Amino acid sequence: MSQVGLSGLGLYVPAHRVPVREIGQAWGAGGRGEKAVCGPDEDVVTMGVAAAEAALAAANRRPEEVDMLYFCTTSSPYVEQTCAALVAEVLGLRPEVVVQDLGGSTRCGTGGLIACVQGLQAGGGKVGLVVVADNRPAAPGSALERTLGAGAAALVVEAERPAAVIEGWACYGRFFPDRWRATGEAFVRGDYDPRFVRRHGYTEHLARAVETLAERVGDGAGDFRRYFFPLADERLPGETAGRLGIPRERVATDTFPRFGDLGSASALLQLAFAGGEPGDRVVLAGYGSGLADALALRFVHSLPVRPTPEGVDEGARRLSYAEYLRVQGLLATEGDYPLAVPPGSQTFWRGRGEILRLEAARCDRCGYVNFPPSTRTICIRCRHTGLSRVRLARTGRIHSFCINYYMPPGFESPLPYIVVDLDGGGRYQGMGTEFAGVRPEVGMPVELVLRRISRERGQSTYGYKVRPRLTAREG
Amino acid sequence: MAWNQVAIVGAGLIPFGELFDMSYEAMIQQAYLRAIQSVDKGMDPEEIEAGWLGTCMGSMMGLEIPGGATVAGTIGLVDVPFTRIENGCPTGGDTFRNACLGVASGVYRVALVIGAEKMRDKPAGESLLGIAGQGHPVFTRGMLAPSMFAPQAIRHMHEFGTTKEQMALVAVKNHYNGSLDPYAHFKKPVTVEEVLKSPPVVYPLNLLDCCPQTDGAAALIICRADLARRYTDRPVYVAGFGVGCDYLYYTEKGSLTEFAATRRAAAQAYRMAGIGPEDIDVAEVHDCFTITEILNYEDLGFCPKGEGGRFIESGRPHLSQLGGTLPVNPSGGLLAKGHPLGATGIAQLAELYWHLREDPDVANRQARLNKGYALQHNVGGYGIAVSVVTILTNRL
Repeated sequence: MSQVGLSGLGLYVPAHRVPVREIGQAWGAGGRGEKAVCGPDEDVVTMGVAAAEAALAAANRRPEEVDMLYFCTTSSPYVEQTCAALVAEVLGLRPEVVVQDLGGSTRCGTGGLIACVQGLQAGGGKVGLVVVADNRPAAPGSALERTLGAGAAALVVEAERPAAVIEGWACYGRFFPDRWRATGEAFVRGDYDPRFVRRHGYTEHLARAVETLAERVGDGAGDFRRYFFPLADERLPGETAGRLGIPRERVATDTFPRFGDLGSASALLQLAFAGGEPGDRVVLAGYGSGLADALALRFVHSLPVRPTPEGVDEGARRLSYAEYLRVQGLLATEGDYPLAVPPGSQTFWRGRGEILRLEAARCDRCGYVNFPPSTRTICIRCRHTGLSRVRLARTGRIHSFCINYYMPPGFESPLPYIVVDLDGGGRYQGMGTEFAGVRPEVGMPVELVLRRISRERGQSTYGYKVRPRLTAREG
Repeated sequence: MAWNQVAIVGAGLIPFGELFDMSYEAMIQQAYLRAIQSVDKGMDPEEIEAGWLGTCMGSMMGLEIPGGATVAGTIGLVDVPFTRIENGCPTGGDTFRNACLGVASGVYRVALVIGAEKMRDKPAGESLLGIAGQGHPVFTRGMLAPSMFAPQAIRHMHEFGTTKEQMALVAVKNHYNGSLDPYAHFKKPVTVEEVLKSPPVVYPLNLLDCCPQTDGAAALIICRADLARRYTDRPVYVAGFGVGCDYLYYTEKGSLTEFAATRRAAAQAYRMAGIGPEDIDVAEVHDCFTITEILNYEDLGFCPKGEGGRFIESGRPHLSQLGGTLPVNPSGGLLAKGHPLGATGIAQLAELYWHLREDPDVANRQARLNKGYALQHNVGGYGIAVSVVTILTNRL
């Protein structure tokens, strides 16, 4: 096989964390560790975008260079509507790029990676982007409520300068219903008999995939330095290691007690946190519904990862159980306050450049940056009609703000509203996010992040909000 | 040389408040009757040759797109050309200006100007949020009406050290003045402490930093200046006016410590009237929020930039009887009298008309007149991008 491999990895873990004991106490139980959960304005699209942008930065690749995109999730906001095309739109990929929405089970992360490698090897392009995100809902009071978490990872895949070469892969799959969520159902179900499912579902299929992989790349199953298995619960790695005859400590497990079961993104986030030294050979695996993938990676040099995993807890906030139920949307409200114009209407289509990519129109004559460009076709300063598209900076400082105290459902309340002086000039104005416990101040460093701003008639609408800048993540 | 081509010869308004039992049309009818009955030497309604109606958000109460004809027939003037003007919070002031232009053109000799707004057919909270539904569906989502002023307060506090206590003094002044005005929505004085302890609405503005949601209507009768003596021996002339615009979005505005629209409107009005801010005896300015009045002092030239907080502390804008040298909002302002959008500007002009004539209507709060000039001001509209300034005088 040619030397296709990973050249950059982006990760995203939400700032909202729930101590498992906090959940357990509501139901008369205990619990260990924490899980990460989406904030009220986050979903797999916003997380995936953040991870994808970070991956491209890590790999030093521009969106225009991407030839294929795989968006992989089991918790899309839609049964029918693409998320891949929306992510492509936000990133600014070329319209002729092949984009695919993958799902079906939590195996789809590694499944998307394999498909991407196959696509590149078949001559479909030079650079691929695999974006994996999950935000799986659990029923209150269920065992899964204590484990299902949210997070995203993205990989830039290419043959030109991989940091970790993919030496081979193997799949092993037979249909095995262990966890599922039917169309129209609100929560993931499963684990009818946990011991049976662990042994004959997860462990059996994953182990066979690893054994097959080992044969293919000419090794014993136990010969790898590290194993990145999906962490669906804390017992699984041990059982699988035993079945394969590998030392338990080689199976990376630390993301589970911190963030919970991250579904299709689980093993990729483990890879992000553990990394590898030049020469290391590791196994990256995925599993869901009886389908298992195992890929062998060999590190040429250390894999660029953004943001730095050490900074992932910066700005993290622990939620009470009641707050958790609210942000999960499990407390019935009257519904989001309507948008000024209906979602999907002409205003959103005409304005997609500014709404999704913060595009502006710079005057060719006086240099003034007009925003938003769909409503500014003449320079507002000098009236010149020659304007060129540019993108606003994503970082800046607070110029002024206010805090709204009476907001209806669908808004955070109190809601900070921020006017930002952008780095390099110009301003942005928009809703604040993740300011709980933080008092905005004139001059405070902030950044613009894509978040869901509304869900109306089933259609999610996204836009940029203003968040306190997390500098520890920048390394 | 002031413009003085149009005179006001009649003024009337209804008490402002939560007027659940009065329809939009009934409010207008009562204001019109009071105005026509107020003309000193009497006026036959048949003499009215044109009408201008100012209503900003008529469709808030289910009346879709009210036009001039919405009221013409209901006041027995269906034969008269009637136009509705809308220009945000300055609707009343701009309606008056357009009516003046109609009369000054020579086409109409006498005109009726009505401002009216029915805000309380919707819950107060919904009006506040109704603004949030306007503007850009993404970039201005989450803004309430006070969100268009609160960042200016934050910036003024940051650049000039203006304090919430100084802002509260504006509310104290205006609620005291409102207690003297029978037309005011609120007639109870408040203290600085009550303002500071009132619930936060949009930080740094508390409830008593904000004007209420109010129903009201006001009307004026104007005529060509040379015909004024037919109706009164004490006409009030329109010395000048101006309309200023600004960019709607914070991303395009310049300094957030001023309302550029007010500066532009004031410059036009002073130039047209041939006077400066030092010639103004009394003013009715747009105090939708306490911080707005502080910026108005600066933008209208009553004090230097940045000195607005010290200006209210000095006592200068208090009533003459309390030692003020430039009474601002003797009526109680928007804070206490209320802000029925289309009616506000007209009602401000009515108040100034009474002061310039030393009418008994304002005996308990009469401004001392030196130069004989009064200034009316509104600022607002979506994005606080438009302002109207009108200067009246009691001398030719």
